[in-house]
Amino acid sequence: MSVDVTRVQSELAFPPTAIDVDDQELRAHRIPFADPIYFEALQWLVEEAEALDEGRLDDWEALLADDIVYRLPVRVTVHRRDGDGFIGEMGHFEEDILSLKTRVRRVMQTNSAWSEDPPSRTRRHITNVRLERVPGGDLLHVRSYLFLVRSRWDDPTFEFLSAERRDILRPTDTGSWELARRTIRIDQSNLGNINMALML
Amino acid sequence: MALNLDAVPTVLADGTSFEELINPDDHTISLRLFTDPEIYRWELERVFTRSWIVLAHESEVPNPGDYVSRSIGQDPVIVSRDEDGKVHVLLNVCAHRGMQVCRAEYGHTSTFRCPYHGWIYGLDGSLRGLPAKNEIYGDRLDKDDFGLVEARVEVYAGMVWATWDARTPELFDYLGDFKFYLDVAFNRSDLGMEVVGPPQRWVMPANWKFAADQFAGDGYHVVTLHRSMKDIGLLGSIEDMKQILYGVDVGFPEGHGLRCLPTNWRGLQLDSDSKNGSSNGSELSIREKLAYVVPAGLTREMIDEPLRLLTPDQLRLLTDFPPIVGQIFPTAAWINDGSLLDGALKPSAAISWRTWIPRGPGEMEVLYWSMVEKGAPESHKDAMRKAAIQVFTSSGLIDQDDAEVWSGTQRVIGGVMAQAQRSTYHGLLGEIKPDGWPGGGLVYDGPSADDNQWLWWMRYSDFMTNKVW
Repeated sequence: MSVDVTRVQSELAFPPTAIDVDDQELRAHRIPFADPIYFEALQWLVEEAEALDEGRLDDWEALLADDIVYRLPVRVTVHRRDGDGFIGEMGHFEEDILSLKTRVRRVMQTNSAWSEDPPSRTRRHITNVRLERVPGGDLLHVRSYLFLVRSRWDDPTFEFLSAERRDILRPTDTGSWELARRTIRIDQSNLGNINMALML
Repeated sequence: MALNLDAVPTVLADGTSFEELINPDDHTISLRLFTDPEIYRWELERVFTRSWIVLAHESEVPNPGDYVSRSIGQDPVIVSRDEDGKVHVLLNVCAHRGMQVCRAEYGHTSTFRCPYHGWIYGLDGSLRGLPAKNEIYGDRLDKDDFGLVEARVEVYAGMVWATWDARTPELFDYLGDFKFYLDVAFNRSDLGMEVVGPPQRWVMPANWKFAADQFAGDGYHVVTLHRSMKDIGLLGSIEDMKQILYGVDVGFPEGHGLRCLPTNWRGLQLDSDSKNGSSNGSELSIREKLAYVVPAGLTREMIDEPLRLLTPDQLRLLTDFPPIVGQIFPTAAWINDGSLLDGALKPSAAISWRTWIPRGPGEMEVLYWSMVEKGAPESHKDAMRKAAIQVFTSSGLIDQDDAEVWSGTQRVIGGVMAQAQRSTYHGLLGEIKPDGWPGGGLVYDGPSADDNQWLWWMRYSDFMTNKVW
């Protein structure tokens, strides 16, 4: 599977970020919503969000592949001719299984993860789910919209985060799926979140 | 441009003298400094227009025609590189009707054209043309009078610095003896540093001075606020968080401050033959030391570069007491850390610049640039980028908790009783300069206390009461 995308070289100081499997090729392999596998993937996403919203980070960790690449690239505002604003290699998340487990351990096994203790109340609204079969294998490419609502302390106003996630799900021996890739395409160039202490 | 700040008041609208808010005799400050809109307005005028502010790294605008959009205080600016390679900082407000001239954060162009009436500016901010000039203005408008307002600019340590005020001293004079230390941290390689991409930007509901105060010299908070780093095993040999307190703080009356940590601070075995592993390395040559404890961001293959570029005094600092964190007044903060990241993350180093942008009394924006040595191998750059993001940024294991307490403080200090309360800076230990300390400044050997932070507040007070230069 190619993970690099070839784009027209822009004149920006940083080249566009290679963040996705070949988008055009994938779209040709879209799976109809009526296909049973669609509901399987949808259930996986909804139950992943359920685990995170219920603070069951150990359960969430169990969904991750050992070779996971989990990214949230920085996005910038650029003119239309310069692309979608993903340039350079900076990110808000740049994780592998070791760093994700470290994050989970910090929250679940210490009493010093102040940023999420007391924990936020969260709702991860997952919509607009679209599936594609990655050619030449049994991997699924899953696109979903994420709308995260975060309530912190007794503040009556919410924090929001809106993004598209592009995932690769890989079948496991136990007949389920594991998360092998996640790229979070955030909609803001300037985040309105106190911190990025939540997994997306 | 010359700003007329000569006759600004130092008494607030309710009759409170500013001197009452920062008391140099009892070493306390009023929490009102973090909430009052009038004080905030003073800061924009008195601090942010006439200090040197970091805006970009030169590698963000490498070629003529490149630009990025940034802010000085609440004023949006364009950082552009002109046809001759010179960097300009321009107020991003059209001279005609005030529209935002440049609306992208990154780009490449030959001119900036305002979308409202079509006034066109060069990369140097000069007004190059406007539609129907003869028909509308005849000879009543001189183009030379209507360029974008331009700031003074310096490029140093890879960063683009700017100030609006013609009377602000030259950057090197402004930095003073701090430059000795900054060169050790950022000017020790042939090719210098580069950013790995656009900076992170995020906004939190907290006054900008909470961040500035901490980066002025608060090593104290690490023991408690960042205890999770030890709890999850990322601090290697550190057994007692109080060990982290010990180092050498260096402060400056100009408001700058930095912190050096001894390389044997972690019990690092500099001399592999040493029996007890507590050697101070005094028997080793500079080159041997550099090879044992490679400075953050460099690789062993690169150690000839600092040997060539730095003075013997600077090399002694780099090998024995590397500067790991600092801030140039008011908001140019940096980390150059190879000490806090033992354990799982390799290479155990992260380098960054960041700046605190005021957005109101109760809101700041953070800009965070992740830096790497341009001459380092790609694999090394990649590992440093990941370590920085995982530990120090918006999502970082460390910075998450800073955001929690800065915003948590802001949330509770607006009430009557809180506003009557004062923050204490009584942890003043006084100067303790180790024998033969190689650099200048006021040197505080021992636990990180309030000395550096108090110097920041004294300098802030100078700006606010117009006793600046």
